[in-house]
Amino acid sequence: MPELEAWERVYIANSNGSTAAFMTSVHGPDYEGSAIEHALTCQMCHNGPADNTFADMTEAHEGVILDPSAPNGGQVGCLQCHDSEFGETACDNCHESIAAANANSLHTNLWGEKAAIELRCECDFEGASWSDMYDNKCGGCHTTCGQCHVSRPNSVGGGFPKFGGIVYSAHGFNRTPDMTENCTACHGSRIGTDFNGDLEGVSRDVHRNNGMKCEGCHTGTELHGDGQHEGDHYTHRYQVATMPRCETCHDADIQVDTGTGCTRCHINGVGEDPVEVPAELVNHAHHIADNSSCSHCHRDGVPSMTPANLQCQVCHSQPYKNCTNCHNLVADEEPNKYDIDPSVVQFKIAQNPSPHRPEYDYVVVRHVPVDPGTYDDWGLTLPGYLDEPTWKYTSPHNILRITPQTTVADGATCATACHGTPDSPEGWFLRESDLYDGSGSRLPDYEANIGIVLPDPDVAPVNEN
Amino acid sequence: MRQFWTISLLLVVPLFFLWGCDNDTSNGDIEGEGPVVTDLTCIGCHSSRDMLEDSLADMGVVMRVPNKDDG
Repeated sequence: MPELEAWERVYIANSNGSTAAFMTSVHGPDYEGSAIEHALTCQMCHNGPADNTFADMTEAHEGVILDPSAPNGGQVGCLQCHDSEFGETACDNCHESIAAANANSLHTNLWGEKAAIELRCECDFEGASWSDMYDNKCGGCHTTCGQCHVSRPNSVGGGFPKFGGIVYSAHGFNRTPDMTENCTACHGSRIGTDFNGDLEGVSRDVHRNNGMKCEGCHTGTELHGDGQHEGDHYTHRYQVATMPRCETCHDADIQVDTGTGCTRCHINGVGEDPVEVPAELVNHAHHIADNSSCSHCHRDGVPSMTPANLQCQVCHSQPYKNCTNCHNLVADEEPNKYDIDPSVVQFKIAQNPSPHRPEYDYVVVRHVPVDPGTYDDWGLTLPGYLDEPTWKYTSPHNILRITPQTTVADGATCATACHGTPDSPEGWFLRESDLYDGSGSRLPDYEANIGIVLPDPDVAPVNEN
Repeated sequence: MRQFWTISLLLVVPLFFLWGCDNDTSNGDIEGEGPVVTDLTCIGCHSSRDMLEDSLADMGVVMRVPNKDDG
């Protein structure tokens, strides 16, 4: 995203130089409403010396708190008047329930990443000698209330948003974070790239084309944490019960079939003399639960009818970035700096490796960049590296109704597109051949992933009947 | 002996004049003239592009934004 100049980052007026919108807002010093007990001065949130008592920039910023919403210290300005029972951040007193839920969220604590490290290092994160190094190199990607609702995230340099590259937010408090300035500022290299169709040959997500933004699917309840793990904490984002699901909106279209729907495969009928399937069954026919029209004729059933449940993205997403070999996390160098191999754009379907979405048999997987030596600079080894797949269940945000997977010759089923895919890096199935490098040697994570690859096409004939 | 006391007194007297002189710019009284008052406020500076540019001219980009093209 375009960088802001230094002055722009802390500029609190709008493009016309007016501060009125912020000054009279509920968070501004000129607020006259009754929603809060008293108007808030700058110092009440940011601490620092009183107005008219400083003579230069250095004096003006003595003791200033940059992010009053940061836990453990953000309440300092409030404590000038309030007692020590005031919450951990400047937000807590008025937004108590949200702040309490958010304190347990993955956005705040990065527990998902920490859990993934713990699985592979077979050690505990808390109290580890390298936890400070993690904070310096990886921990910068956590966020606070303010980094979503007031400023850009620190991971992209902070500063107040500049909407559309034109309009200054002027220290505005935004109930809904801005997709570009906030959400994809962090989630940009994969989610933002996918959603906006920035990869060559990949179209924008159909939801984006229809004007939807992140908040169209992701609620505040989900993003703040839904309290389901109060007292404990999440270890993966797919544990959040309020995470969006396709069928929440598309249930009427999909009618997900967990049984043996014939039309799952036989969209236009069977054999050389196709039976015309009613139009209402064609739409998502492979998910139709009511197969009575088939069993009406096929009373004895059809052999080998053991259909697999597919994640929606198997049919309706496009190629996406896959990352490998993250390394050089040298602790004493600048935060956020690391080296990583160029990403590879691929689309891969594998056996479902996720314990959090067991309802699917086959899913789309994305390669994550962890390498056996990723944390060498911290003195951290990964004895459990091979115990966890590095091709992970993923939800590419580049959904289309019609994709190459659903585009087949007249009379053919969707399955012919997938099962005819080549056994190569360009092929859609994750095969054993994907676990070898260009010279024919096994990749370091071969053993981690061999359990989720699809069988060799020569020994797993396609059932086209 | 008298010369010793005279020299000592001459050395101590300037210290009394310097007592409390630590470049104090706090909100206290100075010679009964009331609090130190400048014309600077948080809002005033942060809503002035000119003042911010003058103050931050040497800072350029405050923080390096990592290249997130990959990763």
